[in-house]
Amino acid sequence: MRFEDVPWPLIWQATRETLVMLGASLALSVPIGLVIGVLVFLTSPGQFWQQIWVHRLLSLIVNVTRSVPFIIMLIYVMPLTRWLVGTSIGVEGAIPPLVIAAAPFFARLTEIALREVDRGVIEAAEAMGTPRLTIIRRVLLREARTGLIAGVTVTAINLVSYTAMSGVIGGGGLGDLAIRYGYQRFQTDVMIVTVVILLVLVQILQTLGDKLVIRFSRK
Amino acid sequence: MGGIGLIILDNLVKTYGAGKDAVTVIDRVTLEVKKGEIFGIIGQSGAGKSTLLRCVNLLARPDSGTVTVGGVELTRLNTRELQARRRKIGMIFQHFNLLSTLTARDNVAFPLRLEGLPRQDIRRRADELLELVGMAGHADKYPSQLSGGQKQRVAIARALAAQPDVLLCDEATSALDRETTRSVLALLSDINRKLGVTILLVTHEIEVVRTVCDRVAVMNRGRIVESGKTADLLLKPRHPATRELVRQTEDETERDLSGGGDGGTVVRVLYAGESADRPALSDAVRGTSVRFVILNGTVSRIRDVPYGRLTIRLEGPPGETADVIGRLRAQGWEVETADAV
Repeated sequence: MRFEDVPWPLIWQATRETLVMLGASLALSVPIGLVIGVLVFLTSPGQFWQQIWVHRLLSLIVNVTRSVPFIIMLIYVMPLTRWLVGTSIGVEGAIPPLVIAAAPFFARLTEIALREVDRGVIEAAEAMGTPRLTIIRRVLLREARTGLIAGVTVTAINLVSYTAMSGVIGGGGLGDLAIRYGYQRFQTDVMIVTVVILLVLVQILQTLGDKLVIRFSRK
Repeated sequence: MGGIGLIILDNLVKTYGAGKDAVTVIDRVTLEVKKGEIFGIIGQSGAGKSTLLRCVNLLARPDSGTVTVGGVELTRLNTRELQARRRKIGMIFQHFNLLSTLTARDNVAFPLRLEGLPRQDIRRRADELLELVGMAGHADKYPSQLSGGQKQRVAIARALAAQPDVLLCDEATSALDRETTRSVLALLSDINRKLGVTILLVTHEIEVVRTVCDRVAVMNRGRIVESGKTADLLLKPRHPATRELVRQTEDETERDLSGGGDGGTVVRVLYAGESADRPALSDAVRGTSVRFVILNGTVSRIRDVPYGRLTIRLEGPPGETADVIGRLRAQGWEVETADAV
């Protein structure tokens, strides 16, 4: 195998596209997922915004969205994408479906992380006369922070794999390059390089996430 | 009843579930806790005492009845007003419930930050509070680095931060060993005396009640079945539930009056308060030929009341023995005999 045929400019371009898609969609899915996750949690039975029907509706939306395969989601939300960003193709066109797929995923992880927070600590905060928004900010999210960081890590890694599918809509990125050059043109060297870059990227994300979890853990 | 009711619970009812499965956890409970006292609610687990305690700051909302603390009817307040009032009602818990991501100092500072005090004031006040509970050297530690007793001390400091007039304690010593329980109870007593904080505590441990409570109420199946001064209630329990609680700590052999043998009269005596200070037993036998043998007994204190509960064999002519018993009763002693004398 001769690596001198590898189109490096294309590789760097694709890497940049992957990073842009990852960064932008993560930056949007995390806050959106966080808000949905907090709402799902706080409207569940026994919590202070207990609203069974709201809880069930939100849960249903989260589940339905999560059960649609990303490749289908990508095409299915095209009209919405066009309305949101003016185009349904390219890196820009890939971001809305990425967010729509990742936000509910992160919402679920948020809910799980919040459920791990000691009920007694929330009760103590309520007993101290803490306003509810303050409880969310300074008790719930704070106490759940390691779980949330782990959730962001998993979501980011998932997004890396989602971005690989965005080639279908001309989103570009490393996955797209691997399919077009590595698979369709039998350029195994391109395939190897892109896979290695993706592997390194995932490894960096996981290590960073783990380090942060340890850094913020007080157990 | 003297004094002012600082906490007044009036005819509280609380039911969990609905329809056929409904369980009444609190059944028409009326209770008054006076300013400055330490009041205990004791009962077996599941008696509803923790729920009752949560009704005082409305962490649990009663279905009906009213809760009044310091003249304010909490059950009438809106959310915001209730939040403000709760700051003046401290609470500690069986499992401490400290924020695991905050240091001891920052845990104590939590309620102070709610008050919006300047940063330096918060730090100073938090350190003072840690000093008060004997945790001055642990300000920068996280809860996971502290023992159970230390965590409870930090929790007490946090509960006192907003200078509450009431401290609610939910099984605050139940997760602690005997020695630590004793030191935490001493701290609570101290706080009650020095800061004048009224304490309402719930527990299933008779030792807790015996050591710190001025008055106590016994809860059984959602109802308060008996209440009164701690010594009176523990020494002369009337309700079966109270007897059951008291019996756990009593020596069974104390109750046996039949095994006297040797021609004497076996009696069981109970004295408490002032009469515990007098040489009543030697006074009673003076001038008679009656002699006494102490077979069994306890001489101790409940809160600040000294008491004794003894099983005694009186040896002497029946007439004189009856006389001695009469004299003991005249001293305020309760005398129980096998055959009615």
